[in-house]
Formats: sequence, structure tokens, C-alpha cells
Amino acid sequence: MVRATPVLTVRKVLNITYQSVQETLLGTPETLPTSEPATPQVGYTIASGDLPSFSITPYSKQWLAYIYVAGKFVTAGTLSWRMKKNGSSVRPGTASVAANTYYTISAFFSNPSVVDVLEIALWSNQTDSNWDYKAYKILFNRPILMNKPRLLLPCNFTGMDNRPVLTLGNPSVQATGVCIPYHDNKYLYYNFTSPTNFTSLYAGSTYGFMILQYGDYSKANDATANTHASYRPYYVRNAVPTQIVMRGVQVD
Amino acid sequence: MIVTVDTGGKQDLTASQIAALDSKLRSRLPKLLNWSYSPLTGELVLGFGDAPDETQIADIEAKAEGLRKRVEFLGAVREW
Repeated sequence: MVRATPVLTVRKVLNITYQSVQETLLGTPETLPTSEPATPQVGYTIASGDLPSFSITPYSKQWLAYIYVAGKFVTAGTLSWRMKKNGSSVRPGTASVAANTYYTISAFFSNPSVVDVLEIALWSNQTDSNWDYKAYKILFNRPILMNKPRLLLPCNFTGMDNRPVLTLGNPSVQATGVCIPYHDNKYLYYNFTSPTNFTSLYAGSTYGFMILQYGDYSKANDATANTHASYRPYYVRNAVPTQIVMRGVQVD
Repeated sequence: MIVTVDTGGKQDLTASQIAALDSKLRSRLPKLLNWSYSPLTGELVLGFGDAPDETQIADIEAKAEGLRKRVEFLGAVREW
């Protein structure tokens, strides 16, 4: 009998450092127009300095851009928005907002690139609605640490955190998305938000070995609008890895 | 609860079309809180708040006969 000899890599520690969230709270709220503005109120151009940095450069990964916009409706009405990427419509939507209520749009742009221009245009069917808060953060997604080997044995998510953490206005978290492990491009019907060890994961070409819920599994190139009587922003964030310890193994 | 309906179309909406669709959706689905539409995929995503509501799913099933649907309760997904 011939036995294959596995090739093991050294134990690799991938540390992920996320850049600080970019937040702006206007001193004076800006009134929303009652028709779609030609120039969106909120826009960010992705710069290389906005991207997370790594202790080991992954072979492959994608980015997720989270953009938040918040404001207030004095009179009950309908908030409309349009997500744009490089001037093209990505997704429009609407939300009903009660009187004297804050709204927050959490928008998730999937797989953007450096120099992409990501924008959100807002308008209202009422004349006394406004916006006064915006924020922007880049997270990473669908990692493949090494081209070969792809089989990770183990793959331990030893550091986890929730991002972004918004501080301006009167913030509160509406929901925190999960991390979802993928094995050979297969969904495992499992998710986690705290440090979790996997005996093995195979980084498939499409999904890598992990995806985030918001911006990929759910709400890809989409936004969610949440309202609250006092919280602004009232936002959606996601659990993200900050450290992954793994070893690659290849069997010829 | 988020219900996704595949409309089969991939047409971008103008602001006036958004307003018309908003009016039509809210008249047919009174519990609708928010919605969005992707011109890239044709998916219409309907938001009904945090609580799962089987009556809403049945209502949408009846009104979107034949269209592929996906329901999500805070991360738990059911597709059919």
C-alpha cells in the first residue's frame, strides 16, 4: 500500500486590523428634497487607506462597504433612497417613517474596489424631513489565505469583534450579523459571533472559508432602514474576525 | 421578517416609478415597513419588521403566485 504524505504549512496567524470608522454628524441638519436629487447627499470614494490590513497578505479576498445615513422625520411620511456605485443605480428603496422619529439607513455594498464611488441619494414625500449623520466602514469577506493548499486544518477564529462601532449622535445597535463558515463553497448551516474553532475548512474559489451575513449572505448590495424614537443612528453591524489561526495541508 | 420575491425583471426604476410601486405595495401589503428593488437581479425585498409573521408570508404567496420566494428571520433563511 502506498501512503500519500501530507504537506503541512507552518501555523499561520492572520491578524486583521480594521481602519477607524469615518463618521460625520452635521451641526445643522440638511432638509431632504421631495424629489430625487441629481447629486446624492452622501458619497464615499474607496481609498486604499480605508481597507483593513493583514499580518499575512491573503491570496484572495473581497471587501464589503457599510455606509450609514440617518436623520429625522417631523411629519410621518415615506423615505426614499437610491444606492449608487460609480454613478449607476444599484438599488432603490423606501421606508415608512412615523412622525418625530429618527431613521437610519444601513447600506451594504458588495465587493467594491478601490476608487469606486459609493453614494446614497435620499428624498422624502414630506417637506420637513432631514438628514444629519453619515458613516462609512470597509470590512473584509470571502478570504482565501493561500492558493495552495486550500484545506485548512485547523481554522480557528481566535479573535472576533463587532464592527463598526458608531459613536456620534445617539447610537444604538439594531442588529448584529453573524460570520458564516463555508467549506468547499458549501453553506454549513452554522454561524458564529464569538471565537470559534473548526477542525477543518476548505477555502473554495467562490466563497473562501467565511462570509459575513450583512452585505453577502443577506442584503448584498442592499440597504435596510430602521426607525427609532430616540436612537440615531440605530444601525446594523456585523461580527468580524480579528484573528484567525490556521495551518494548510496538501495531500498529493 | 424579510421576504424576497424574484420579479423576473431587471429594469431600473425612476423616482416616479419608485413612488408608484411604493403606493401599490403599501396598498396591497398594509404591514409593509420598507422595501427595495435590485435592477441587477430583479429581486424585490419586502421588510415587515423583526417578528416572523406567517400570515404575511401566506398573503405574499397568494399575491406573488409563481414567483420564487425567500423568507429571512434575523439570519434564518427559508427558501422555496
